[in-house]
Amino acid sequence: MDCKKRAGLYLLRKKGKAISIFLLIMVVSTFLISCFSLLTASEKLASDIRGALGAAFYLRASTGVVSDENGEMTVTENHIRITDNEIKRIQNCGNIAYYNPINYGYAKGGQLTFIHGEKHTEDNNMGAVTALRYSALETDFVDEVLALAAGRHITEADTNAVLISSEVAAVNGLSVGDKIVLSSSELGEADGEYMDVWPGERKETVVTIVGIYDILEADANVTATAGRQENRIYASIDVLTQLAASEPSVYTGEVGFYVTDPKTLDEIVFKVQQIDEIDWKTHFIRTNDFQYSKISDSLTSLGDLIKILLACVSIVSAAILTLILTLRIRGRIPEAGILLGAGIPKGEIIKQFLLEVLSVAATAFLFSYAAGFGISHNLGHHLLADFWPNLINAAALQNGMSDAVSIDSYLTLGIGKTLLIYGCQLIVVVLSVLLSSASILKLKPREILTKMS
Amino acid sequence: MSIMEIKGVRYSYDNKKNVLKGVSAELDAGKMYAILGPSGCGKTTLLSLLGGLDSPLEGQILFDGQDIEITGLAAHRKNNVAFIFQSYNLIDYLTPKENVALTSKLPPQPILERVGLTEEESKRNVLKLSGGQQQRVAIARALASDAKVILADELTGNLDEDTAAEITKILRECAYQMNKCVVIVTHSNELAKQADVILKLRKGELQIADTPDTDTRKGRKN
Repeated sequence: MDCKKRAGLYLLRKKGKAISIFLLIMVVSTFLISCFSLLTASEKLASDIRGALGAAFYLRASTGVVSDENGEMTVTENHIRITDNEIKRIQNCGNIAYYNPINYGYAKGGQLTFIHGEKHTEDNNMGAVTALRYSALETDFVDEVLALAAGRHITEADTNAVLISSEVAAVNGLSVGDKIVLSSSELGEADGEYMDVWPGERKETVVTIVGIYDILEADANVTATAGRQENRIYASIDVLTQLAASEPSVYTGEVGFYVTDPKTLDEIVFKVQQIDEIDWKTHFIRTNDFQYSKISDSLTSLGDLIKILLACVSIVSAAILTLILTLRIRGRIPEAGILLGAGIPKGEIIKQFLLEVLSVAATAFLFSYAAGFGISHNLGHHLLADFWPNLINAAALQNGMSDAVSIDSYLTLGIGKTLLIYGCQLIVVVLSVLLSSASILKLKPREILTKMS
Repeated sequence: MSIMEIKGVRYSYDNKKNVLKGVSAELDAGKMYAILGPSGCGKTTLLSLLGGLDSPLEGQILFDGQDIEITGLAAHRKNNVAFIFQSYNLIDYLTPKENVALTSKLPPQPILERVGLTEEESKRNVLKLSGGQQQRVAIARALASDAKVILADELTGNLDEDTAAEITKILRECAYQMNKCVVIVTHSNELAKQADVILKLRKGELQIADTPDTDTRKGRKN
């Protein structure tokens, strides 16, 4: 009877022992697969976010002129705006992945009730609208003043889409997917009262609520209804244009340009500043890394936590596995003695022990891959969800599609890493078997048989 | 010519006190030998040396005229000798058939039937067999190995008298009918009397204590 048959019969007849080793290896393996999957995903996500928004520069137009007349400071609006033409010129410098222009305005909501602010009246029942291409890149979301509570962020592909606060949603009984009507309005002040000063014909547009946000850091300022944080509406860039509150292809806010390779940021900014068509007396550029730092700090903390967890569990599980295998094999001293007495070489006996454990380990690996996949994907969706919107936009734009690359693709561990994890476990298993077998096989057959009797 | 020869074998556990002091003997095929002696006199040690489980400090063990140290102890254990132990030493996750098949490519059932196990008993877990049945499986395994020498250590120690007598009878028949050299270690004078040659081990020295008439014994038993 050869060692393969003996190993097979052992596993078949000693089911309890085989199953306990199977479960141990499977649990350890599942844990390792899940953790490595999460770790790899967080690292890759950090790297991709770094690529997507780690390096950006922002173009701002000076919208007001300050004049000093007889010691009185006066700010006069100069109507200088950033235009699509300027944006195209900047894009021609190359290596710009995407841009995020912003327009500001106000809107009323028909039957929509806003959270009451200072001196609230039916006339000033309006909210401030921030129209943009990517809401996730808006400073308040990046700085975690606001956080998406339901639905999704606005992306470049959206039209007639809005995000509203959870407070406004609650007051009006709205949820994601609901449609509301917005109408043109403009906030003004006269005689200490806030009022709607929309000058022309009012336009209306129907918008869909694609997301609802929570306020994490409340603004304590007492302000008009339209100035309240809760009443802010984040909208796709087309909404204010439809309401005639902004001109098409002209932007009142800062425009963020996100470069494809962070290393080239300085070089691109230098190139942009050489564009003659832009009046650099009224246009300003700033660069910073704070958005990436904000996101990457959380991702790094998550990664560090997983690393610590991985190190602890790897050491403990390797120790437990080694201990159990050692005890199991030492318990088989009589069997080794019998086989040695029957003239079966030591190598064949070790081969049998190895075959048994390796067969169990291989089966456990198959199950652990499926289990690890499930756990890491479930956990990953929870742990990485906060970082995801930042990438959705980048991916959507870079890939030219409205929906982003699935988070699952980040959580799927590559075949190389999976094999490496299995390989390391196999090394632990093989070493445990060899070390514990060595303690038996260094004995003479007679010593083993004496121990038995 | 003898099948095995022990030549001036000395053995000590601590290199001070000799358990075996230059022991010599010749063992022939077709005979049953009993090594008799009090506990701790070195009977099992001598059996281990014959079986290649250990090496003597001095002297030689020859099988068919070849020094087993030179031919290799593992090869000697695999090809030339088979052990039967008092504690049966069966592998508990194998059936009697599979235990016998450990050392042989021959069909195990005929050998098991020869030692008195039925087909049904041969398929059971060995731990579900009685002591006598387990010892029969151990004997069947030894016979199946096709080894010329069978070494048995206190093989009836755990068995009742009737079963012990049956087991001894089976071994004696093996020696005569299959031309095996059977060496049993025992401290039982009764069991030793069943052997063709009684070797007494006392104070590390081996003496041929009794050589009953083999032919007479063969005739009486057959």
